[in-house]
Amino acid sequence: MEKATILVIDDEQEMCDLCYDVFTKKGYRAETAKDGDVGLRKVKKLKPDFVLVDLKLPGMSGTKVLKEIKDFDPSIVSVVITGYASIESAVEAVKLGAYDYLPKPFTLDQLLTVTKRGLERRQLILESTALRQEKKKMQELFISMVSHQLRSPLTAVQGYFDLILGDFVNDVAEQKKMIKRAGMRIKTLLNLINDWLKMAEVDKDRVEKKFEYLNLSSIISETVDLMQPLARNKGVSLQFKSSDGLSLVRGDKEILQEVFTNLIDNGIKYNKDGGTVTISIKENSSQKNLNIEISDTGMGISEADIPFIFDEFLRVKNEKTQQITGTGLGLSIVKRMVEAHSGSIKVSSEPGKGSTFTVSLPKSYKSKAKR
Amino acid sequence: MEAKKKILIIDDDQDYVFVTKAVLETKSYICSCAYSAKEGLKKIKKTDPDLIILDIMMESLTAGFGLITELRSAKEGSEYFKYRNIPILVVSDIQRATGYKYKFKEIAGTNLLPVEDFIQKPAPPLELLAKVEELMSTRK
Repeated sequence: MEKATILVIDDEQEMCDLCYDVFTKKGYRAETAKDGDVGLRKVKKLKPDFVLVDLKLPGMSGTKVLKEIKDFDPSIVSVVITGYASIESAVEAVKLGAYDYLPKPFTLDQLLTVTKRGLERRQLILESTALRQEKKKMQELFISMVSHQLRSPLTAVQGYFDLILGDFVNDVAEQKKMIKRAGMRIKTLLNLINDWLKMAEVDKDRVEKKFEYLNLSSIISETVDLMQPLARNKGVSLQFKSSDGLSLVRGDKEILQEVFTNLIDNGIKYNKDGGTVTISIKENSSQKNLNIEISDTGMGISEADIPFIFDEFLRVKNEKTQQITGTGLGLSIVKRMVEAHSGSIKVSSEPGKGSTFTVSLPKSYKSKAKR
Repeated sequence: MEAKKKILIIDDDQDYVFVTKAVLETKSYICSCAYSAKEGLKKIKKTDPDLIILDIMMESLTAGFGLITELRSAKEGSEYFKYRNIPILVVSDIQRATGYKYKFKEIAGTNLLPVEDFIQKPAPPLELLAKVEELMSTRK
């Protein structure tokens, strides 16, 4: 926090002078006021970080001043100074929102300690407010991007309709091409909607309810079999290396199948003709996780793109990826699904050589029933 | 005979660019295209258009704004100085995408948004044409 502002509201001149000196020496910006009215005016003008209020004030009571400060700005931290026999009013003050109370007579140490703690509290309040605003801004940004993503295909389709219906293009062959193109955009939109719904559904609490003990080897083996035709079509070979006796994991079979299907699909899509996708499960007895590696011999991911590869809106756009279709949500969905299983995913890559995605899932042991 | 007017369309949606181009070509405008703000700046230098039709949300949420600033604030010596006053028509979905919080249409033409006008996407072809004709006729 840049130079904190402290306001002291006390009718005793000595008190004000002492505090002013002490705080100024500590590097704070210090201000004083002799009564509630002046004090409140200064609060509104300076918006201090920390206020020390004497409960016994001429005119407006310390308790009222406290309440006014809270009403004006609840993020300002206040501490009440209590005089003689005022423990009850001190407790009352804390109930009214004071952070702490400081009974007279107090030592310099006590004054500084209470002030330090008060300023720390203020810092915390400011940081969490900033975080909340940042989060809100990010949510708004997110919504803007999603709505843009969903609306663009329809804007394009509308455009083609306008061209044809407005007699801007009368050649039937041309019109057919446009309708075909519009159809493709609609398909993309449907895929996007499906993916966004999937994202919304993958929620840890919801997902955990359907967990059962799973054998990863057989799940992946099934997935690899299903993907063979696609791989053959693209001239890519799939190789699965597993071992027996692997630990089980707890999870949702369908979701994990989706994870591996997605990763293998990417491995095929971004691969070269004659390339391979190798899947292997590794278990290390000293570790708590199983690691599943999906490696391809494809175009790889540039260093600049790697930090964003699991982001919702990234689709790597370069000459090599021009022909590859997709919604761009695949990896972000995969990440979410893996994390809903208390796992993690990471990627390493070498442009031109290939990429390796590693999914880590916690091992699980079927425990014998407790007696 | 008057030289045909040149229009540069900058928008990351290939279909939207195609459609806009087809509409404008029915009125004999010569159209060139760019699919990002970055590419757009290059094409401005290459084609020196009479009008730029610009989208905002492209490689980033505010890519179009970046281009506007780059052009309009170009100082002598900058590679874009010669092109700093080319009329710009913004055609974008950003007003709706940001929940109508910012009234782009209202600030278009002011220092806040130094462009000739702002149309909300999707713009019906006739409306787009009318606006383009209007901007072309008021220039010099």
